Amino acid sequence: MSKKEEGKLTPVEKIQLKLHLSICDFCTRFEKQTKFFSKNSIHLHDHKHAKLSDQKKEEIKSLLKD
Amino acid sequence: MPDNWVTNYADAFYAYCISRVSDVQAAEDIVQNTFLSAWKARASYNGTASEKNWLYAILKNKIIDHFRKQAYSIISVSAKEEDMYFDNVEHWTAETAPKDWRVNTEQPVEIKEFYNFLDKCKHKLKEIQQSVFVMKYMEELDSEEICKVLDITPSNYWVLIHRAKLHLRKCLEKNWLNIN
Repeated sequence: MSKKEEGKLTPVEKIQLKLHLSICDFCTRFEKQTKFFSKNSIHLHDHKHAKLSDQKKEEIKSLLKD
Repeated sequence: MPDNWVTNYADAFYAYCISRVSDVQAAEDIVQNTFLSAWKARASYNGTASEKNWLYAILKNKIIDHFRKQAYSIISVSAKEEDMYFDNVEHWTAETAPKDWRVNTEQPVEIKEFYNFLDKCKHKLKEIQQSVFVMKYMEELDSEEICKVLDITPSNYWVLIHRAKLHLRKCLEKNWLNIN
């Protein structure tokens, strides 16, 4: 399934996976669920309200000088 | 302008970074090194990309460098770990088989709890699985690039990304959706 996402399946593997998914409900479910969190994980930082400490900011500012 | 870099970007860079490397010290170092590298290279910034995008490109490179350095000693992939998910004829076991989530997985989520648990569950992954997951799904590198960064074979890569997904999925199911 991971190979499929990256378009790295050979034609034979494509057919084998399709056949397997047609009889494996858990695998189909696994594929949908993992696709869901994989696709959304790219936005994680927009939901993370972490800030750099003021001390570290001052430290960096002091380094950015000639 | 370099004078405003820290004020304008430090918090956003830190949030971006800590979502990916999950280690406060490492994230702070990466942010600091990003600004320092940019400062040293400021003469070469030619304005073709916006300042923000130019700085983000440097930040992203520093994050990949971090994974590269971290990986040099930790690669050993054994088959053992999957035992809990599959029985000896490679069928899902009753306890670990994916349950019905009853959420619409076709829709993008804006739910705070989801991201909260995604972050926590990602944190629980083994370091190397986390690196692979972040590079694939958060930095959108392709498998060849990831193999190069971590100096692993494609078959190691497929095993690692598969395990990362198995563990994350199970952890979200248990903690975010409370399905046991």
